[in-house]
Amino acid sequence: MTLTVPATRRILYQRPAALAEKSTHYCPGCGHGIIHRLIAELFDELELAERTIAVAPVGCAVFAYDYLEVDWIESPHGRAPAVATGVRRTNPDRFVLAYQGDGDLAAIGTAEIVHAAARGERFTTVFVNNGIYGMTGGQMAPTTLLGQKTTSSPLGRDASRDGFPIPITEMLALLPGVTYAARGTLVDPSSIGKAKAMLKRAMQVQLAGGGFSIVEILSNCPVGWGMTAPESMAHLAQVAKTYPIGVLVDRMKG
Amino acid sequence: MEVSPQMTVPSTIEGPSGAVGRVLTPVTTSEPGIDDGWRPLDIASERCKGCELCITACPHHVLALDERVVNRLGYHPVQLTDAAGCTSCVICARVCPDAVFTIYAPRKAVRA
Amino acid sequence: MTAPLDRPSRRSGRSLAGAEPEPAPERVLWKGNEAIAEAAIQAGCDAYFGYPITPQAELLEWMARRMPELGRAFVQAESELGAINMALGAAATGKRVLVSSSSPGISLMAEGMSYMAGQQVPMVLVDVMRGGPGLGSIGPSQSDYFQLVKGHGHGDYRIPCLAPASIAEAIALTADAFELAERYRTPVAILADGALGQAMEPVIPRFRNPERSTKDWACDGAAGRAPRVVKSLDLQPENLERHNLELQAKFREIEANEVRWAGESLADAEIVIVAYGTAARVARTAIQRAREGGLRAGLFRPISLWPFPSTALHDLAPRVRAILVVELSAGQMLEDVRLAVEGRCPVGFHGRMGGMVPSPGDVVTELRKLWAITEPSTGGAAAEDDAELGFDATMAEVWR
Repeated sequence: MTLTVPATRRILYQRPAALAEKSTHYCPGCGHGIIHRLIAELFDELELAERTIAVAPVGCAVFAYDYLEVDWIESPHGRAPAVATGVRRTNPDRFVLAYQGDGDLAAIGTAEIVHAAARGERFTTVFVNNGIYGMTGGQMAPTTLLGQKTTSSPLGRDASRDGFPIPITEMLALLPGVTYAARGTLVDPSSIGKAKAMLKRAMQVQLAGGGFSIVEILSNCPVGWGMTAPESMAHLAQVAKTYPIGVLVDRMKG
Repeated sequence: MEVSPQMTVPSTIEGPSGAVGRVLTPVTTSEPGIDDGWRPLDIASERCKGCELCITACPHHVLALDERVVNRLGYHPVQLTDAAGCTSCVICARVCPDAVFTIYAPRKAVRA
Repeated sequence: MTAPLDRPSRRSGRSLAGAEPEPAPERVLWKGNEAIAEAAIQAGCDAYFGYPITPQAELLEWMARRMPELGRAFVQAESELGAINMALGAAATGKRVLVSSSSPGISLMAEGMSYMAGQQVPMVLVDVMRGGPGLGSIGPSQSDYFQLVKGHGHGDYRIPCLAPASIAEAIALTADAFELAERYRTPVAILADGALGQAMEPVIPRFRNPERSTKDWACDGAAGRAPRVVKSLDLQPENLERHNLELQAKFREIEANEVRWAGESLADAEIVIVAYGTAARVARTAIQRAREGGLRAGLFRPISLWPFPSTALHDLAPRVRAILVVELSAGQMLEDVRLAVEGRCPVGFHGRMGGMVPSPGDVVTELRKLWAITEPSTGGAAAEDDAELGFDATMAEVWR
């Protein structure tokens, strides 16, 4: 797509080239759209698109390969860190990105993410945490908050029956193989900017030859949460009380 | 509002089911007495899902859904209601999940 | 316990240091697991992913030492689940990948195999079969036939399955497996068993590094070309059916071109044993003893379990008195034999389970029992000599 821009007009922002110009299947206001856009902006800024091999999850973002213009490999549910490991070990000079949701990463894929992190695998994981299983109709996730109502916790998550939410990124940050672990949020424009900075740092860690890097981004699910998109974004302030925002570890700093 | 021919964006957009859309003629603005085709932003209305995140985020409250229009996806797309009130702060583009916004530098910056 | 690094080089009697594969010496005494591993290395294997499980741990250990020597990828994964998915990732970027495991681990890999079949990604999986079901035993078995030969994971697909009956054959079939995998863009399985994996045999290793097929589909970074996606998902039923029809057409092509089997003493055989792998070796001894006793027995040995040599068996059946299937299982290949024979002659079965191996004496007894309860065939002599019995490369339509 080319814009004809007269000389008097300077573009401050436009859709990144690495983002396919198509309408996405994501619900109106879904954070996946924002996160895809941030990644695409960074692909443009860091000139990564032609070097990237990305691994797609199972979840709402299963179609990520339709939206970000890089090579993509579909992964079975939860196995993205293992798939990314296979990619990284045999393609040392490529940029490797794994994109996962909370079910993919913290439920069925818990072993894979822990061991990829323990091995210090040099790829970057984007972990989209919206505390729910969107694709399959809004069931409880390992990161669902206590008291949160979902289709498989209709009376609200109850610790005695359903256990406690898992702060998986804190757990991963303990491992020496994890060079960078951070948690951002989409709650407001400023936070979106900070989340992008975290993604950039994670990518730079990989490019500099560091170990495992992960950015968890607190995101929304308007339909699953039964809220409007703006309400669901505002709700992220509540979510952040369970999952604090910030850089958990940066072992490459200084 | 004036529509200048050079503002038409020559692209087609594919939706998930292969639906092809054409970007609507973008919003333009002109200050009284000055017509140089400047406007603060373009909106790819065919891809807007009316989520209203931009409307909530806009600090100048110059965005609203255009309820006269239903786009190909079935939503009322967002529109700029007061071009003069837009400062090209880019906040709408930052929150947009569908990357519908193209933001241009404010007139003052361009003139200087 | 001796350090694992010391054992292989003493046993195999060849120098294993150095960055490049060396030409093999004339004749070496080699453990099956290690021979298969080295065969894969010599076939240009870029990556190995695995998890320790008896009775194939030596394959992983050989790779653990050799692959880093050669600057190639080796990962002992956190589980077989991890290993097969690492393989999926590496293979989707166009690399030559080997994974090995044994029965319980193979079950874990079914998901990954289904994905790779749907994604049309080539790789080679070695199953050193052991007793089951469940944790079972570590003795040899052939009870994964259903699992692998019928596709392994969910969905409408098959994978070529090759069954070596000796270590020398295992070496040759490893190279063939990589070639098949890339030619047809499919996972390929090699079905060995604990006996073959653990046995040591003198072999003249005939390694082969098959030429690599053009990788116009691999996801290796979209530099200077449009991005690619390796996936198996399509939510539109019409599209997925079309994809499946393409897969089926591929399977028909494999059935037409890649059937392999071997026969021994078939030309004048009155009663034929159908067996593969270790069971075939037992059968060979049993046939020799049976012939010494005046019973004209022969061996029909499938080497490709899929595509199964159905046409050849179908043609053979009316010419013999009976067929005895011998397996280290409750009878899994037995079903494919019965399908191929289509009632044209009686089919009997002898099998052991749990890690037990049939003895040649028991097999001879079963041959005689089968002889006693069957009638001579009326289909005429099989052939003038074995050379007439090639394998029919064209799969008959009747098998659809």
